[in-house]
Amino acid sequence: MFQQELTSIGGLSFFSFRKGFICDNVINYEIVLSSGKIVNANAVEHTDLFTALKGGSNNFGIVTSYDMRTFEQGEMWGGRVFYLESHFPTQLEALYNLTTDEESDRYIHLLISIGFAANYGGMMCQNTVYYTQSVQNPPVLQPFTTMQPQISELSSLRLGLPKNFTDEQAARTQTSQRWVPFCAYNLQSLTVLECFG
Amino acid sequence: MTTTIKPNLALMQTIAQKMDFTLSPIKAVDGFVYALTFQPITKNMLVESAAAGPNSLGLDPADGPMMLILFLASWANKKDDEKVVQAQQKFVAEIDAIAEERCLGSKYKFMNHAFTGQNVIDGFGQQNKQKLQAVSKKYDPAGFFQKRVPGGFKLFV
Repeated sequence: MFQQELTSIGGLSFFSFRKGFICDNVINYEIVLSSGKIVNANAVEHTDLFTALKGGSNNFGIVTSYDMRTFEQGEMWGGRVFYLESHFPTQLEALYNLTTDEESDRYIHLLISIGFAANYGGMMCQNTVYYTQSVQNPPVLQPFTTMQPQISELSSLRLGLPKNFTDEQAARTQTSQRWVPFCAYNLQSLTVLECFG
Repeated sequence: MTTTIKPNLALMQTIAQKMDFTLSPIKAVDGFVYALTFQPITKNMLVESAAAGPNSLGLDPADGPMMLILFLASWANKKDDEKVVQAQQKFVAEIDAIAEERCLGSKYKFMNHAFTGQNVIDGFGQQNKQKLQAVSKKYDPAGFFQKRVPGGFKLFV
């Protein structure tokens, strides 16, 4: 369901800096219309519906299947690092520099967060970084992974296949609270509630 | 809940600084957990998006780079819903006002992160909104997915 939403509302992936939004990589939607008719929307059939579905979400029918453009992808590197609030201003500066660099590396994907948890009573920061080639600790991401001090025992930076990283994101969804996806860290219990990213 | 700004370091620092102050009235809510996330959209990414063929998002490489901002909250009890949601809405409105004042605002709202009531379809631009409405009238003339299917972001509001 989550994946279907991404394919019809936009969506960002590990590969977006070189492949665009997730919806840009759909080549066919099979959709059930309100009449009950099932049609395919793609570059040659129902092309207006095809464009509409790339961002227009659940407004036109029920998408029952979609085909996506594929590409070869082996191991990648990345994960999460956790650090204290005092570093966040420099992280914002590094993110600003990277975002506005027109020559920036297309193999990266990242987001940075600052959070608060009531049971911890304070603020904590997290960077989620990825490099979609088999390169450990690439220089372009070092501003976001080498700050000290950091909570190094929680760092999950490693090489792995893409599924390893999507499993990591999916595994840390909490369902017992009222929420939109959230991100926080409890220092005392070492309980990490992870962000959907 | 989300908003989008043109990347600007001073504005990004201001947003992060305002977070703690703005949320202090609701920090005592049971089980309150909160995160403010910055996620970049580079100009190059929008070039790749445009090259992949048309979509409805209303973004052009000239709109880039952009900085998506995501406000995420979690809390334990239904009785605190209104309080938490209103505090977040107030924070987003404040950020939008500051961004507009500094000519750093963006109409685009990333649907993946948007909350109920956020004006996502208008954020695609009037031309795209009208195209989406036309497609809806063509493929769903009775408006079943507008009136009978709850949830999401409707086209005729």
